[in-house]
Amino acid sequence: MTLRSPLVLDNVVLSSFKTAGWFESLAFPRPEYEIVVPEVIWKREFAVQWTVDESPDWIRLESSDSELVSDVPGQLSRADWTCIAIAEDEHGTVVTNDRALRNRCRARGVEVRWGTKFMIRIFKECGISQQEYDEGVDDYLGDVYLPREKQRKVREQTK
Amino acid sequence: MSAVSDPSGTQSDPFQIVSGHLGKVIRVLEAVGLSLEGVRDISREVLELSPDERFTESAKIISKRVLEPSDLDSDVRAELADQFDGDVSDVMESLLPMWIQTMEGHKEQVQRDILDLLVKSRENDLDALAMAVFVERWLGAFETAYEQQAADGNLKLALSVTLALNSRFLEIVENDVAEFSEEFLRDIVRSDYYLDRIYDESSTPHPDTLSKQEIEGRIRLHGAVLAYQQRDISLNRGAELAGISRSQFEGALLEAGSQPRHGPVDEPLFDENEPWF
Repeated sequence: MTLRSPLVLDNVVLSSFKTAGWFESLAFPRPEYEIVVPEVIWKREFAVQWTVDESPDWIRLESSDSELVSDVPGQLSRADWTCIAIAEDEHGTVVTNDRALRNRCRARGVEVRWGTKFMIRIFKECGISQQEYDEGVDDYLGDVYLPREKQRKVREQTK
Repeated sequence: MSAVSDPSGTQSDPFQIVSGHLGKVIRVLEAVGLSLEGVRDISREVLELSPDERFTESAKIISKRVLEPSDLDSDVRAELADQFDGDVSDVMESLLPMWIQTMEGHKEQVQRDILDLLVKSRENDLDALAMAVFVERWLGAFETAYEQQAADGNLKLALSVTLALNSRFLEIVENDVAEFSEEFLRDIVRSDYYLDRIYDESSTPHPDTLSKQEIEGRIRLHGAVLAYQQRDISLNRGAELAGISRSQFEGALLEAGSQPRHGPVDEPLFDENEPWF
């Protein structure tokens, strides 16, 4: 599975990085990888939740007019389907912590990665300092619901 | 936003699903000697009561009908009258377990079909959610009646709630409605309110104090939680069905004793060989 640009982030990933104080670290994969967020997620969810206006210049807001076909259209939200549509249109990778969205991406052959593994990669490649990690990891785990054993392993990560 | 559609053009709706189960429910009633006509009469009588009476006093109608002519097969009535000496709790002792056992199977099948509908279609969301919650409450009322009977508790109230929901269900399927009425939606919330009273809980406000929008909001939320618990839908979809934010929906799930399905669960968090940046 090759990581493909652009990286299409869902609201769970955006929110978890923001909650932990690591939001700017989402820009780490650039310039090799573009960071894309569905416009509907930014405007209707993230910007509302965090009371922000403009998106940073390292995020490209994108929409899609693609008409997707699926036998389970009600499995995902419209915003979720937009993540898939953008990734399909641009041959990119969806980054999410939601299992249903991940399952649907895999069923459709869309490249997908776990948001937490994405976060740990950024951390290990020094996009998040050890101090920032230690200070933010509990908040991250308050936003991403993992089994206790996985939480322990997330807390124990070092460079 | 991109649109998504089902290529098969599935046309089933919650009303078709529910109507399809009516025949099975009727056979349950017939098995205990109740005629469909008798059940219709009881339901009409129940629905003529005020909401408060319907949910608290309608059990009297059962005891009256068990002992009086016309609704029961005469042999069954005679046997029941002899056996139970006119006490409705004795009647229920034999009928409730059978009803619950039979209804459990139907409930699972109806809910499965309704929740499948939510996944296979993006239409009729509120109707499907309402029916999923109604079925859940309906069986819950039967089970509460059984518990109350066993505990010598408030059987009359629990039976009245059951009968009120039963009557509403029959009205829907027999009148071939195209959409659920506000009264149907309110009855779902009424069942929560009156069953709370059995357990001395007060988490549900009196339904008559809630606006139509608030009633729909409560049903959307409860239905979305049910759908998330029983189907592989995304957190965002659950929030979309409930009409609330993702974080609010997460809170509702946690309150209902469920966790959002995040990952990874089975994979290692870091694999040096996995291709990344």
